[in-house]
Amino acid sequence: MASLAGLTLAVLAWPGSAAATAVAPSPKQVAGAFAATSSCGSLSGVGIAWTSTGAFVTSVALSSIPAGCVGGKLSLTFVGSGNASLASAGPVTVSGATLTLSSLTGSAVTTNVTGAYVSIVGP
Amino acid sequence: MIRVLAVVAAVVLASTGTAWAAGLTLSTAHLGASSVTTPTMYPMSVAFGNKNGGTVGKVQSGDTIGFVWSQQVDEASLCSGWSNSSSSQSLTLQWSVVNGASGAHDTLQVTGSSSTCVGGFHVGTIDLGAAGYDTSATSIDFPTTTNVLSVGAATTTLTVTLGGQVNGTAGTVGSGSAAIWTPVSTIKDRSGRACGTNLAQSTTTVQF
Repeated sequence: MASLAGLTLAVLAWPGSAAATAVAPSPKQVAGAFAATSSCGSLSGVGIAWTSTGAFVTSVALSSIPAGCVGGKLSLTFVGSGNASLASAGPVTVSGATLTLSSLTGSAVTTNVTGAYVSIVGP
Repeated sequence: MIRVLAVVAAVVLASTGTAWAAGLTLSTAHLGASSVTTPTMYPMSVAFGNKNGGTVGKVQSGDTIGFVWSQQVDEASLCSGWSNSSSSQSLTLQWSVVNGASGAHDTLQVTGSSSTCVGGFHVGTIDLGAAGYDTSATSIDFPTTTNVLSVGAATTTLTVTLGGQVNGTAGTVGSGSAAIWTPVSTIKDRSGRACGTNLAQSTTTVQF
């Protein structure tokens, strides 16, 4: 059965084959290409300090953001047990080595936070 | 078998011109992500208690302030004469409500000294979130304030009970902002992790 499916795939893909008349792919053009990307700087050294209100993280102050990231869009996600997302903030444009995120979506109880991920797109 | 055929199909798609990739344009060539370390030792909470029968929003002897750190504090980093060999400590030391200049928020802080705590009692400063707690230009002092430290299994609590009110003029605040506790950044837990620049904010907007 698997061999038949493979054979069908090969026939469909081969130019000039009449076996594709029952198939109407849309769109009929596909494209793929390679484009290299690089980080604006090492983000592993970004520092986090937070403000706790009651039991929750309500504001986050980031420090040591690489200079090459100024102008990029930064996002932050706090995770808990099992790497489950607890709360996130951004994207916010990086304007310097420090950045304060005061609007978080979700609820991060400080004692449940096991880590955080920072991502930057751009500049 | 399937894998081989799929590869063949992909090669055909890429070479016949009917499936053609002219290129790929990214809006940015910079994409970066990393895990970062989150605080372990930090101020968890600051909370105010009104003396039974006292006026809400007005500081007075008997009012309390509770501070909680997220870890077992290295007691000597808080007060040089304290040792981790005891999980509870008590100290009488002056605190004051300091009038904020030019309408700035009043603050609450340690203003006394003690031979037990050479170099100071390193709790930090509390922005009370309003300017009206001290309506005079001089500080409201509480020289017989008791400071009771309790180190629990995972956290540390300091309960401050204001006492012996003198000087200044206490006003009654009807509305304000949350109080913000800025702890002394060098306070450490028993693994040597410093409190850093983390802050704690009260859930109340009127204190005392």
